[in-house]
Amino acid sequence: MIARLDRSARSNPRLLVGLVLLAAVALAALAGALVASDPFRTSETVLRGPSVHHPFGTDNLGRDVLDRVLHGVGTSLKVSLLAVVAGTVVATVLGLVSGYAGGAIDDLLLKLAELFQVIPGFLLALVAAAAFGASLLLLVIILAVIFFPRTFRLARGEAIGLREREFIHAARAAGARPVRILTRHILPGALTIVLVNASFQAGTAVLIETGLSFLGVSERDTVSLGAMLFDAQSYLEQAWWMSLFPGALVAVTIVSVNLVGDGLQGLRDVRAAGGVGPERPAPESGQGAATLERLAVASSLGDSTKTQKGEA
Amino acid sequence: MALLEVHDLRTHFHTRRGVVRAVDGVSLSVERGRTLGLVGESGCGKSVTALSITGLVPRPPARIVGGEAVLDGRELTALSERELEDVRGREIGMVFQDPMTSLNPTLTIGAQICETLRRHLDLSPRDARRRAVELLSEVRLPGAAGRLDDHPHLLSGGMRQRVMIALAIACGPQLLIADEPSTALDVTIQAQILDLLDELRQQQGMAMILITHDMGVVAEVADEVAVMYAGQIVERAETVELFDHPEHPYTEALLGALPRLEGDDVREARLAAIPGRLPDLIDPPAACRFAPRCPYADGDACTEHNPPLREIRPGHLVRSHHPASERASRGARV
Amino acid sequence: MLWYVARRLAGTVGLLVAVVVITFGLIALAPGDAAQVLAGQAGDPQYLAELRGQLGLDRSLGYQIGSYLLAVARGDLGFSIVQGQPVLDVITGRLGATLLLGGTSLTIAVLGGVYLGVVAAAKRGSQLDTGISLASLIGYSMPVFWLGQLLVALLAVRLHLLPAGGMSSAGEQLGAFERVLDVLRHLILPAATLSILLMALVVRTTRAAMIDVLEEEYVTAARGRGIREGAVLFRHALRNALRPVITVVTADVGVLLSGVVLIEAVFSWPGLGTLLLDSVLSRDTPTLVGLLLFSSFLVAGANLLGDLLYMWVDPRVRLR
Repeated sequence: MIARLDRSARSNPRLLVGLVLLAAVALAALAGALVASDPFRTSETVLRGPSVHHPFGTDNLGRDVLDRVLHGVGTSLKVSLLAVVAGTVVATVLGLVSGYAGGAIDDLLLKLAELFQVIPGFLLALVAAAAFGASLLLLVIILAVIFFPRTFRLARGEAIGLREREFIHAARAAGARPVRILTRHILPGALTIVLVNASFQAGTAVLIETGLSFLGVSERDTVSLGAMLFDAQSYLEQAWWMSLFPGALVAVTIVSVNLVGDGLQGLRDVRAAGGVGPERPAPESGQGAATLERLAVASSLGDSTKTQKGEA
Repeated sequence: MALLEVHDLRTHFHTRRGVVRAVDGVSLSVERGRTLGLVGESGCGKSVTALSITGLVPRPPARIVGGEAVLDGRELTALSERELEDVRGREIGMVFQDPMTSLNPTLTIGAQICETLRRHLDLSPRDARRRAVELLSEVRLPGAAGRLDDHPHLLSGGMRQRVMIALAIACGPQLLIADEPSTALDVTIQAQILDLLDELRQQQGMAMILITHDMGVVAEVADEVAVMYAGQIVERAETVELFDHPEHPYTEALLGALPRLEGDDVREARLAAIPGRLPDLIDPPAACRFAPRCPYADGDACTEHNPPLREIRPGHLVRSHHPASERASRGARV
Repeated sequence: MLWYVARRLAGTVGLLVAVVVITFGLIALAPGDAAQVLAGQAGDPQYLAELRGQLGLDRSLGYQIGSYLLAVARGDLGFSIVQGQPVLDVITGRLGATLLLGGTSLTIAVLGGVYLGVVAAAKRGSQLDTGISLASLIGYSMPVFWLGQLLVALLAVRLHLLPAGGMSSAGEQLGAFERVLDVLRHLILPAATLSILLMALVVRTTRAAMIDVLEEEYVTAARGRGIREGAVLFRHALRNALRPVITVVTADVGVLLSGVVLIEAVFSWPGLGTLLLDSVLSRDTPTLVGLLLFSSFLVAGANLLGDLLYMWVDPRVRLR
């Protein structure tokens, strides 16, 4: 696995850069948890620019911006990771089973997915957070719910697409049980697209988490980059560093997971295109299906429209 | 002077694995009003040759690295992209292999024909429409007048290919390039399309390059034949001469004349029946490219020198160390 | 087709009912209620009970949902005590500002994004393409509220070129024409911020779709007929590439809405986003439910519009 990643990273700079950036961000979060000092300690030295003592300056309450930024990125990563893992696992399992088995439960789950696709996720999260009071756990749950429809549909689509393929028929004929067929034959095929989707959703999670806390909806005793940016809003004239550093870190975090998503998608494209043989001199052709899948990830394609290619 | 003269054309594809010499020194010529059959199996470079002549190879990854194509005294390979746009459709018409995919699915047939007419000819919208109906009748599309506002998906494959032909001849080109025009169609319709092409060619006095892998098609339509293998021309002759006296072992195989293919009907002699595959066109060795599949390959000559294209009889060129006539005179081992 | 639209609208109604149920459920589950907010922390119990009676909060959840739905069917979204007027009026009062901001941004984003996406795909692999792709990746990843802050800090606070927030300059006597100009000046920064986000999305989608389409045989065939490259790209290829673009744009109205909320907060733009935020902070339940309902309706409507646009763009699409 590592060797394969290493090989593909060299031919896939996006993935490489994305992974390196992500590692750096994770390291920063780790440093925040282990090394950085108390992000809530106020001091007399308010609104000081970057210096040796406070590399990222201090905020309006004299708190060290670097300390706070390191803690804040930890919050973002924690929320994002938990939400994406929970959402992806549940939605993938349900999607695969639902797509493979079909029937009434499939219809019901599809309707449910449709429903949650209509409610704008960010607004839902905002209302829920306002109603229940902001808590990280609630945010994780809401995010997982928001992410459910897209992942569910992707996994379901893969299962339906593969269900009628020769090798699945063969496996069934050989007496393989549904669980085995799903885990051995269908899951691996769906895995890349689910992972690509998960990385993009991780970015969305960071955006929503910081966005909510920017709007003032966040846990009181957790440092959040969004809340820091909210504080910075009032001091744009005096203290640019209060906005620049937290914002840049949010941007870098999201760029890194999006790069990873792009890179993983690229791997899938390369595999789909196969090797370049003399039979087919155009080396970059054969990406059609793959790119459309990317679009399926980038959007959430409705099932209501069907294209009928004229076969006559 | 011939209508089209192609001299030593070379088109390379730059891929991650290396440079693919898809077209490697192709020379051919097409006389006015005559049909050249360009034959070879898929991947041999015949389509890329046609696309290179018209400047349609995708750049990048492809690049025309050498040679020239001269149409009616104009060197196409030296023209700018905009000048080439004026030549395509106006002086060279093209028909592609798969009528299912070569018409734009989102534009009506009328829109595509009128657009082409008005692009090259000075026609009013109404005149273009009238001319479009005429064209569709000329290619014998059933219900021509009522088809203008149809989208392509409402037409069958054969009908779509008729539309493609109408598009190709719309502006009265001197040269028609038809790339496997009947391959994707039902067997019953194939002959109709070929007949239509040949008939239109005669009516309008066009020259035609017919690209195909089917010797039967060549026998029916072509005046001259050029056989391509691995990016190079391996044999060129008048059709009758080539069919009567094939010289290259590859041509013999195509014609089902090789001993081991005996019994195959000539028309049915599919190229897949020849054992082996096309060689890798990335850094091909200096050897004869057909040597690995050639039943007559022997010794150093075949594995060390790629034979030149030489005139074995007047008007009959061959690229082989062991052409049929020399094998016979040497009392070859067949 | 009318039949199709009618059926889709009927389906939308079902979804909207579900949205109402979910929202009410969510709010009912939450500790505290609107009466407490109105009465204040140390509210008099009797006053509280009175308020609850007024607001219908003493009835069962099912009854509340039922009567709300019936009212909605009559075009009544309830009454906002916080705002002191009917929710429908509150929403329509703010709708104009949001439509101005969202509409402007969406128009800029679609026109610019499609153009850049086509150019990037046509020059695939070139430095221009790499630049456009990279810029769109970054634009797509930027938190909008931070981007807005940066623009404010630079263009409004430092250079004093543009107003930092609001929709109009207060306390100035202006003629009609000057008022329009004034609003436009206030619109530039928020619209620019929102369009960058949306444009990045459109560029990515258009580029990917165009790359697929440009490999189609009919594109080569069109070039083979001498059609000018510009027409090949924008007439032949783009038409076929538009479908996924339509999907993304219409499916991401949700993204647009969340962007609107954040950007309105950054720029104090007096639209639905700030209304939503105010309602959240003041626990203005009727307005919240109305807003969620309204935005779900927008999303569903956009999806329907997208499917209809499909049909217009691609004659092969049949709507069933």
